[in-house]
Amino acid sequence: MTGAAVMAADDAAGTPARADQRSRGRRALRTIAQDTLLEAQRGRWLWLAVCAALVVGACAGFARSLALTEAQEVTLAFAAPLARLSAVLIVVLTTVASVVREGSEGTLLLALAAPVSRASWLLGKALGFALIATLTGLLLALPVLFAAEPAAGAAWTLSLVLELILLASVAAAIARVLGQIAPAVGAALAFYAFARVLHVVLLLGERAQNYSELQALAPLVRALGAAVPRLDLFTRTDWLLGAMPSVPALAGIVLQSLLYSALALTAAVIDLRRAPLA
Amino acid sequence: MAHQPATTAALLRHMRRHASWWVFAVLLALQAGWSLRLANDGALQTSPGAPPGATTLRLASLDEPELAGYATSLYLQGFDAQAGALLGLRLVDAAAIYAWLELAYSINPHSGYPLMLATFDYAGPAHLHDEASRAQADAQAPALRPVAPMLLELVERAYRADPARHWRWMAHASYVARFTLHDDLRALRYAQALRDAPASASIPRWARELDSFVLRRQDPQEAQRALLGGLAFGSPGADTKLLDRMAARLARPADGPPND
Repeated sequence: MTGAAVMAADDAAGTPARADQRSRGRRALRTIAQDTLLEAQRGRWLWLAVCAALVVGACAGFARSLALTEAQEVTLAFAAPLARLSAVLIVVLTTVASVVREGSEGTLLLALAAPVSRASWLLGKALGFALIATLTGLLLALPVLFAAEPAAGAAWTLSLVLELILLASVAAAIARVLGQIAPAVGAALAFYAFARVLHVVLLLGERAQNYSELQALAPLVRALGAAVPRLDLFTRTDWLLGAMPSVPALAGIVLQSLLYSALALTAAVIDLRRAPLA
Repeated sequence: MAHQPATTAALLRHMRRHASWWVFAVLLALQAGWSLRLANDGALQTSPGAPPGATTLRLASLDEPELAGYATSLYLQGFDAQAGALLGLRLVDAAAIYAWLELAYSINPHSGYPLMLATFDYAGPAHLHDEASRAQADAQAPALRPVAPMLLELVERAYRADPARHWRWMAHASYVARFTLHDDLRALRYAQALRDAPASASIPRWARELDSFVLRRQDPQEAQRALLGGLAFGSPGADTKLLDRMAARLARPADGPPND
């Protein structure tokens, strides 16, 4: 038997084994994602999202009742930012609590005792968080969709879901690194606020360049700005008030969300491989 | 078995057993009393104070200028009604109101809400302020800069920046200049600006001919009726809530209060 024939025979034997391994990997991912969703559901995440959507709707309705003109615009101007902020809070809290609990209660060790790599475990968790983010985004978008034009509402909702997926990945990475709920939630929310208002700070810095004493810090702030996503371009309220986003702008948001989610999850994998588990 | 009557000792025993509930109830009653006392202690404010900077407001709202702009407008709209009491717009600090309206417009220039408040709610009371200030002025204390024309100039600025969006408020500003401020030159200048607007602004014909359609009338009620008619039947996308409010003001007797 020639060497090539031996290799061909090995390949023939190896193909079903590899396919089986891939199938087992997919099953593990699905199970971890489902467990993540189930755990969040047991933590009353869905109830929290429904209650938040009702509160947002009530606040927007109250603002609408006060408006003497532009009632539609007032409704959307109140509903959209409140929905966005509520969704962000719910997703950050749920994600951080889940990651920290996995570490502190030892379920992470249990999961890794099974034939699942650390990266696969994190990918499964990320899939679960993406599902949570998507459902939260859709629920919180309901009060906005009631008042908005369909096309603008759809673009806004898509952007909200992508923003929440990005933020869930960042919150998971931060929770993995910090390992405690309070600092991790604080850091994730600070990251969010920073990414939302950074461009305003940069504009202020440029205007004050000639007389600011902090001029030396400008390169540092610009470098920080390059390392965080431009969340001010996501889920903009003015889309709902007539300034529809262009297709390239929406495509940019999709790309930014995928890129930054991947970046954050890679950071989490590095930490998971580096640090002792218990 | 006969039911034992509740004795003082049994009641004390019960209270000891549920001491935390009794303490909670007492503290809750104290909290409610404290809140009610504070609610009745609110003195009416006549001035909203100096507004924050536009950038500060933008940062505070996490870069949501639409929310910040509308929230500012709603705050100003309700400023005369504090703790259930009506202050009366003529008593409000007009200069501070102008500064807040300018902030609301600058942070969200697409909205006509601050322009509506400027022409519809605050121009009349501000004019009364200006008149009173002029009457009291003397060599030691010269009259302050009149606020009512500043309010109309804010509307003019907004109109010149975006005629298609703000022509309604410009038409109303022209009406206010003619019949409230009695400044015919200003009213005609605004009417001329409406006439000269580019065709792309899609301003209806009655608004372009405001001087003959509204301003030439002698009776303010009749002029307001013409303006209301133009806004209701001659304008695309008429705002029914605002029209109802204008109609209610029109239906009010001439000696009624100047503010809603």
